Amino acid sequence: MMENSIEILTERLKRKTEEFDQFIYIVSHDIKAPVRAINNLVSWIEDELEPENHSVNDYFTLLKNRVMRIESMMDALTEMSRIKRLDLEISETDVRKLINNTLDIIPFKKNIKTVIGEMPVFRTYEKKLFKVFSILLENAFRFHDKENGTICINCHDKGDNFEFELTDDGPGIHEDYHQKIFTMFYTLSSKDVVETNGAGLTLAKNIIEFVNGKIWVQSSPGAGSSFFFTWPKTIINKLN
Amino acid sequence: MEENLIHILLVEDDLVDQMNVKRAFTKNNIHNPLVIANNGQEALDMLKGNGCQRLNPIPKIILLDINMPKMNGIEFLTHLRKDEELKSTTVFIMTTSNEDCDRFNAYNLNVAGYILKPLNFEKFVSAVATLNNYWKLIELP
Repeated sequence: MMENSIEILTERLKRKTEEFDQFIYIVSHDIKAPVRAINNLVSWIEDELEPENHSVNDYFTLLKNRVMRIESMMDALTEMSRIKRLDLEISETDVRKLINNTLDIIPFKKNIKTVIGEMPVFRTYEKKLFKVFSILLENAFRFHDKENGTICINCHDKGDNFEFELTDDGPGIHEDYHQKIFTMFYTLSSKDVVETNGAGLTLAKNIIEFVNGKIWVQSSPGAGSSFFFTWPKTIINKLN
Repeated sequence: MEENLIHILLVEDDLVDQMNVKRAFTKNNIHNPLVIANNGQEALDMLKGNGCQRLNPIPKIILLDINMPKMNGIEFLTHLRKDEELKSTTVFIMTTSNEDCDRFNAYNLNVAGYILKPLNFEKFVSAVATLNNYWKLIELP
């Protein structure tokens, strides 16, 4: 009897979660259409405007930037709502290669060296692991505050899981924020100083939790940051 | 010269998106006549002459949005492909929908391309330039 009601509740919870994801998807997708329209109208007004008025030009730059920010936040929400249903192919994954592929597409030109330790090759959700690495590495590049830097990536065997570690020598994060940085859209510096939508770590956390892994940070100001996450060696098929 | 240009039908409900296509045409010096329908039903009526004057000439190329009131793009395509006279029309989807099922359905209904509307106008202008190069290159039925 007891077991039965737990089953019913689990089923109901599962359905609610699916509904919620669907809701987020529709909202984030449908809001994008008027956002795009605003963006178009802004660039047309700009086109037809007298170019001398500097303050108006500045306002336009800000306006366009804010529109871009809405779009980027909407994209993040859409992506979040699709974690459970997209990129579920399991394939042979060479983690070293995957990290190098990530580094190839990092959009920041900074003088940062990467040192990659021994990495496993195993069957997993390659695209999901790729996403996690690209978020963490992009952050390490984006927020790095010095001329030169190093990022070390290592992997530790923890029985059923791999534990990946990414250590940078960037600005570091005060202990007060070690939890908060995983909150959706939360950022430590103004979004005008470092352009980011504040969704990366939340997305990474959601992906990692989807595979039953964990993510945490060890860091203090001035001492760089180490991000750790666990990832199971075997994926239990979630489709059923 | 002008009379040799093929007519293009844009099926789009959003006024700003309609202007977007017109502006992109102007920016790219595309002079093909552009006819606009506000949804799938209106487009079908215009192509068939149901309750309105039938388009003459019949547009050989259709730029089609998916999410529209009354009749959406996929429903419109389904009707189009069943129609003897219209079934060979070249159709490009222009949409914000990144849903796999929309893409899948559209290609199953033989679209020539599925284009995601970019946020930024400059990117849209270059996408339209590519389309223009494409339809200038190919021989239509």
